[in-house]
Amino acid sequence: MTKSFLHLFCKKGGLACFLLACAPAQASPFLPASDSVVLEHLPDASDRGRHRALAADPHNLALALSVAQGDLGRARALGDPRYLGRAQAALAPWPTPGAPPEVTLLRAVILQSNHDFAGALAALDQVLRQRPHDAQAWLTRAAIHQAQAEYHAALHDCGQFATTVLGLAPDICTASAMSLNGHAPLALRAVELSLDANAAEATREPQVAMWGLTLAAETAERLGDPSAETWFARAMALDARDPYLLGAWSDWLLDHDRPREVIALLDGYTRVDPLLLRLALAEQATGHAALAGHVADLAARFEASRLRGDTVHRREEARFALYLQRRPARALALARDNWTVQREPADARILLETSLAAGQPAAADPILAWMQANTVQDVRLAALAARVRASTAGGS
Amino acid sequence: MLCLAIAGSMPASAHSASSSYLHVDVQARALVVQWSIALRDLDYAVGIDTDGDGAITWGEVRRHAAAIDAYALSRLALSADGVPCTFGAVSNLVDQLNDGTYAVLRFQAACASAPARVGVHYALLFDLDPLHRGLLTLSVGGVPHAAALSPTLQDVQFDVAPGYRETVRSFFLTGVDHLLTGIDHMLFVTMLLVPAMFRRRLDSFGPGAAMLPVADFSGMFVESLKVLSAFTLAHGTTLTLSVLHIVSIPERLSEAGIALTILATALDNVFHFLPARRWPLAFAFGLVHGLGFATALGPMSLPPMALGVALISFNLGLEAAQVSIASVVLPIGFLLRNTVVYPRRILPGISGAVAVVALVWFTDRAAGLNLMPF
Repeated sequence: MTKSFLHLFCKKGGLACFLLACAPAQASPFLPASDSVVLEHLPDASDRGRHRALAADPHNLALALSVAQGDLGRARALGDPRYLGRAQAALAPWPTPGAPPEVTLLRAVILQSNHDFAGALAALDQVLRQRPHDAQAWLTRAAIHQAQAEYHAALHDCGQFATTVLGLAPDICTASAMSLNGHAPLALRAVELSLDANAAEATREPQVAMWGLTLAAETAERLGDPSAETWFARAMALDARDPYLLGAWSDWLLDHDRPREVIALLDGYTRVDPLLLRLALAEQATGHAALAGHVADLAARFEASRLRGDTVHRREEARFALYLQRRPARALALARDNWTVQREPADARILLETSLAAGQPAAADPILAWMQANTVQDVRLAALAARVRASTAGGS
Repeated sequence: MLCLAIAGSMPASAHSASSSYLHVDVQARALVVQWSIALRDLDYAVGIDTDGDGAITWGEVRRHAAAIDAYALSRLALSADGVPCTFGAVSNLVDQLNDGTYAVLRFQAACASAPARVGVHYALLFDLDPLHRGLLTLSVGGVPHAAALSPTLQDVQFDVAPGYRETVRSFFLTGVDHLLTGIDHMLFVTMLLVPAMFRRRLDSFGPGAAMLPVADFSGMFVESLKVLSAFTLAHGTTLTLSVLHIVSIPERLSEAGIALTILATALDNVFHFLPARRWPLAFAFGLVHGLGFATALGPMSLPPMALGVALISFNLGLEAAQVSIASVVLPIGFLLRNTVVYPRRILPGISGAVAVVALVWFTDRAAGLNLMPF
């Protein structure tokens, strides 16, 4: 009878049960012992002034753009989507059709972050009709096409981007698409050369350098090249707090049986869902005592996202369902839905893994088709695909 | 400008987005509300971190309590049958949730009449963060209703007309569910049932006690139902006492006590050291099991009538599930009663295994180690 009474509702009542029993809000409220108890740390304390100025003058375009840009940067740097909402609110005074192109562009980035790729592309097309040489619009378009596995379209976008800007960024843009359409060794070499040739830009724009280093690390890993570790180390030296890098580096460590390093690395990032997932996977691998608590936290957060109607986390949720809940059928359903929206190597991998675990190799057909159509080079995906083919052959 | 584009080119990792948790408990003429809102969101809306050091202290929250309450309450409206309910005084607490610290507002809303329909209007933070959601639960007679409130769904209505059908259904199912998924309860019932197809002479004790196979199935079934009903009756009694706060003992003690009853019953199936009549034993041990609900049922603030209906439905559900288990276990045991392997191998084997589990549970719970997963 250790289960709480309310918890029993959870099996039947969907939203209601979740909120009653499983929601984080069901912890116990308390009165802090003294006034000096610190309850929360704010990552954005320095930016309060601009927000206040905008509240007083909400139709000031320049101010709204600067606030929204700051919030979008923060959403990414901290991995906190509430800043996406704040950026959206800053842009709210301008009507959706007929907004200035700068506003539409930022709206496209928000839509992209919420995985509304079709909406984002439509917004970008609108911007490009007004400003055919907008570098940022082309680059964002390339990123979306890349995430949808439209590598020809991405290469075209990168080409347009390169007509407006030269240097490291367009090189990485192009290499990123090439790394998945059969030219991975060339893409890796291109990033390496471009980083050397554009050292000044890399220093001036650490985010661009970070993008290049992460791309190099991931491409090397896909090729089974041990230099991946060195690329990750260089990226970590540049910014050891970048949420995307921390996730990619943790995955590399998990794949190379080094879960203890993941635990040390991610200890302070339990608020970022995808990083908490990696932490829990590392705890599972080492038999760490904190595992059960973190699995419960993740379950509550995925459930909350589902209730909110968010679908941004399906890739992570599929991994959670497969490895931490051992529910392969559910994991497969999530991985399949996810592939209809996002088509990056990590999305392919989880669909291959879940289709094998669920004993439904045919579910991985779209991945096999994607790999073949683009001659994707990835040793891990190739091994998984071989197992899928073997079990399809054995099963029929 | 380019930085932003780069930011968009790399996939991002994300937190949970902003949500508040709004619980409304519908009582006779009042709505009892608990509302948890992230301090990060409140700071953005009303400015709590006045010294701008990036850390929010309890002192800062306390000094801004009036502003926080005014801000939040101006964006919430509750109504009974279309007539607005009036908010009473707010008590301010905080809560540490897994994605941050939340301010907790507790208050009552007084309504003109006992509502048949409760309306909720919610507009917190939507102007500052359109991705914010209000996750609402409204509980009527122990039955939860829920909604996710958003900029496009700011108003919801719930039909809360008095009527116990839903309470009965929900608590009956909860009782069934509790037995079928509560592993220690299930083990105890099984331990009561596995030796039911033998009659032990009342004065016979010890491992070699005389165990005679029963002749007639229906007699055995009725006898087992008596044992199970004695258990349910006892369990229901202490459950009621603990829900009404007449009896309350620490969870650790009741949990350890439950493990002890399983251990004793399992060992008795092998060593026969307890009195041979089973129903008094089931009753006595049932009293212990009922106490296990003290903490679990404590926070349910139901009106007396609904509470009575809920408890009776729960116990009936429990009893129904017990009878279903008996209908599976008893025929199998009955068919096997004349074999050598059932009384000599299966019965002591199962009982011994359960005794080991119960002993580990007991040690784990009594010593507060919490090593066991359930």
